[in-house]
Formats: sequence, structure tokens, C-alpha cells
Amino acid sequence: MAKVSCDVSSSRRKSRKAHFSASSAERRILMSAPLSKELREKYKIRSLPIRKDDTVTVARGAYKGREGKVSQVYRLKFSVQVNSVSKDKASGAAVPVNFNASKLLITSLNLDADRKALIKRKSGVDCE
Amino acid sequence: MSTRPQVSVHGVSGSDAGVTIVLPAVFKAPIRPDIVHSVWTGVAKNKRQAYAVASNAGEQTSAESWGTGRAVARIPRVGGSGTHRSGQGAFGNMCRGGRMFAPTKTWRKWHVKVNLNEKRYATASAIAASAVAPLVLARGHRVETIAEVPLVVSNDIESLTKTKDAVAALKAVGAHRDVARVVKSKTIRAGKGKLRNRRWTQRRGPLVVYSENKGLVKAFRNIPGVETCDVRHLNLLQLAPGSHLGRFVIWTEGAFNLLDNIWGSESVASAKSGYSLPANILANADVSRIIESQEIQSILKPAKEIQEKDIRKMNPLKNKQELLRLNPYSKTFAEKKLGSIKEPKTKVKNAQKAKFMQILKDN
Repeated sequence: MAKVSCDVSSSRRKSRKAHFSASSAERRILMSAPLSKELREKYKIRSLPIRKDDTVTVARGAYKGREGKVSQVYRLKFSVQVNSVSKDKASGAAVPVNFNASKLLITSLNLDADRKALIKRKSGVDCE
Repeated sequence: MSTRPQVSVHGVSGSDAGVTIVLPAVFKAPIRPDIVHSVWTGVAKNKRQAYAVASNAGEQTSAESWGTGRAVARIPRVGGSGTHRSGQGAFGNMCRGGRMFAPTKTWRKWHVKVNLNEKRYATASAIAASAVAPLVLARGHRVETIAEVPLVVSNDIESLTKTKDAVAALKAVGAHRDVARVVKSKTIRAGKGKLRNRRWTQRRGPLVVYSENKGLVKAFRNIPGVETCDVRHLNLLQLAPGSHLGRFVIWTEGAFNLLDNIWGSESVASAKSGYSLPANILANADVSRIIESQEIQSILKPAKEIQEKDIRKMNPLKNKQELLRLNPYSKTFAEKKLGSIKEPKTKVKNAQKAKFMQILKDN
């Protein structure tokens, strides 16, 4: 499909620059994850910026199907770490596995006041 | 030329809508690949943007030639000392850091004027070619599954607003194989274009021509390879991409009906002022049938007898057949190897030899 909007560039150079030099606040949006079917129906939202303490399922890769809580959203590395999924190093120490946010499925939200306001703003669903 | 075939209209669900339309007169326009190609090369240039190297690139030193007598080339050389640059050649296209040969300028002639009548001829030609199934197949379109060429679909297709419905409609009329071909053809471009935001190449699919956009454009625009166009603004670049005639065109009923108004026919004047469609030089293009017809054959002169060609002289010593022609005995001569038979030693010869030896002895 041809480019339609003249406000948006389709230049590879510009989009790569925007992606890799994105600030932490911009990375929050880039690191969004889809919601599970039930949550999607409940909140009328397809995806949300992922947050610490969201419960997620891994949807792709070797750890597909594993569940757990988000222990860290590592914006510098564009990666999300899940508390139940870790790897053993040769020395025996455990290191967390990094996931791309879009390859996780949020199964329950960590609802704080800001999150609730966000949902209210996006879809009008009141979480109170 | 007055009788033109009927084309039936197909429903969006694939069924025959039961309506037939007389083929518009444009489809009888002469198919001229030469005109289409020359017009296409001009028109295709009209979307170019200017580019050039910096006007002072390679000219930013105060270099001067050393002249003769220093046993070095007379190319301008950078002056001064204390840096590697001093004494190096400059300006010339053969120099490191010099300007290119004939630096490109933004005032290059980027666009080409093409005569209006030629453009119309080419477009009419391209439209006519889109109704010839062998040409459409030769362009590579997969039109084996569609009901007929040209493919006319009822006006319902113009009011589709969902891409899902548009894909279903394409499937129903049998055009989906061509879209599948496009999807499959998507590959990374060869060459530098990759770095210049032309990363992917893919084929062109069907062109949907409509008369009124009631959502059709948005419904179709995300289907790979499918393009849409208003009948009033048909474009040679879309009808004959790469100047290859025979684009697979899906006409809506309204668009097909408008063709006679736009291009004119025997009874209707064209909407283009003072325009009439190009006519074919030959009413019947089947030349061999014309030649073999009774009318032509009856007045032809009888065919001339073919004269014998001059006979080329051959060397009989090298050419066996020539030898045989001159000397029929040569075959037997060769078979019996008469040429290599040794003459038997006769007594006469021996006697002579003995006589000779005797004389030697006596002396």
C-alpha cells in the first residue's frame, strides 16, 4: 500500500533513528503488549504499555506458554523480564530472560490509579 | 467494425448479473506497442525529482597547475606545505577529492513533453490490449480463473467499504489468483535501491476501474498489488506498467458504460473535445486469409519458374562427388585400390639390370 499521510515519513533511516533514540517515555509506548481476550473484552482495549507487576503469558519463542509476573520493564534494552522465567549461567547463577513486550500477552493488569485513568481515557471503561 | 461483441456483467458474489453491455468502441482501437512504448518512456519521466551533487563539490581548493618542467602531470595541484594534501592533484575527475566528470545539475531536463493525441492513442491502445486475453496472460496476470476478459463487475463493488469484503469480491470473480501471485512475488530489491527506501519489489495485480468511489478506494488500497483508478483519469502508467501492454483490469459496470462517452464511438461523440478514436489501417488483420482469398488469387500473375542457380565449380581432386561426376570410373578405381597396385617385377627388367651389372664388371 502506498503511503497515504504526508505527515508520516516512510523513510527507513528516519524510522530507525526514531526507534533507537527514543526516550524512556517514548519507549513506554513502544513497549506495549496485547491484552488477553477476556481483558480485551472487559476494557475494550487491544493493547497497553506493559508495566511492572502485570501478569503475562509468553506467546512466542522457546518459553512459549510460560506464565509469570513482570519483574522489570527494562526500557534501555527494550526488554521485559518475567520473574518466573530465568536461565542458569555456566557459573550456576540465574539470569532473567529478556522478552520483547509485543511477544507477551497480558492476562491481568496491575491496576493503579494512573492505569485506571489511562483505561478510562482510552476506552471510557470505568475500572473503579 | 459496427458490430461489437456483448460483455456480461458479473455480480460481486461471482454470479452472472444477467446484464450484458456492448463492448465500448475503445476496445477496437489499434494495439500499437511502439506508440505505447514511446509515450510511456516520456510519461514515466514526469514524476522525477531533481537531484545533483553540491555545485562546489571538489572545487573547494585554490589548486593551480605547476606547469611544465617539474616532471609531473600538469593537473592543478593544492598549494602550501605542512600537510599531505599540499602538492596533491585537485579538481580533475581523475583526482582523489576532485569533482566528478560533468557534475549533475538540478536544471537537467527532467520532464518530457508528450503530444496529447499521442498520449490518448497510447491510452486507448492500452485499454484495447487489456481486453485481449493472450496479452493479459503474457503480461503475467493469472486470469485463467476469471469468467471473461474484459471483466466487468456490477456497481455493488463501488460501495464496498471493508477490505475483507473487497477480498471476498476478488475471490468471487476469480481475480484472487492474481493477488496471490503478487503476495508471493514480494522480494528484497537487488542493488542500491534497498538503501533508498525502495526496499521491496513486487508484481502488479489487478487494476480496479470505477466511475464513482463510494468507499471502494479505501476498501481496496491495502490489498497487495491491487490499484484503483477513476475511468475519467485512466493513466498509461497503470494500464501498461513498464510499457508492457495487457494489464488485468476489473471494470465496474458504471465505469464500463462511461467508456463510450469518454472515448467516443460511432454514434457518441467523445467527451475529449474534438477527439476521435484512432482507426485501424486494416479492417481484417488476417493477412494470410486475405492473400489466399478467391478475389486476390484470381488476379495474381502465375508464379515465375525458379531459375537454376549458377553452378559453383568444385575441385574434383578434393570433392569426391565432383570427381565421380567427371569420372564415373573413379568409384571402382578407388574400391579396387588400383592406384596403389605395384607393378610386378618383370624378367625384362631383371635382364636389363643383369646386363648393366655385366657392363660395370667388364669395365
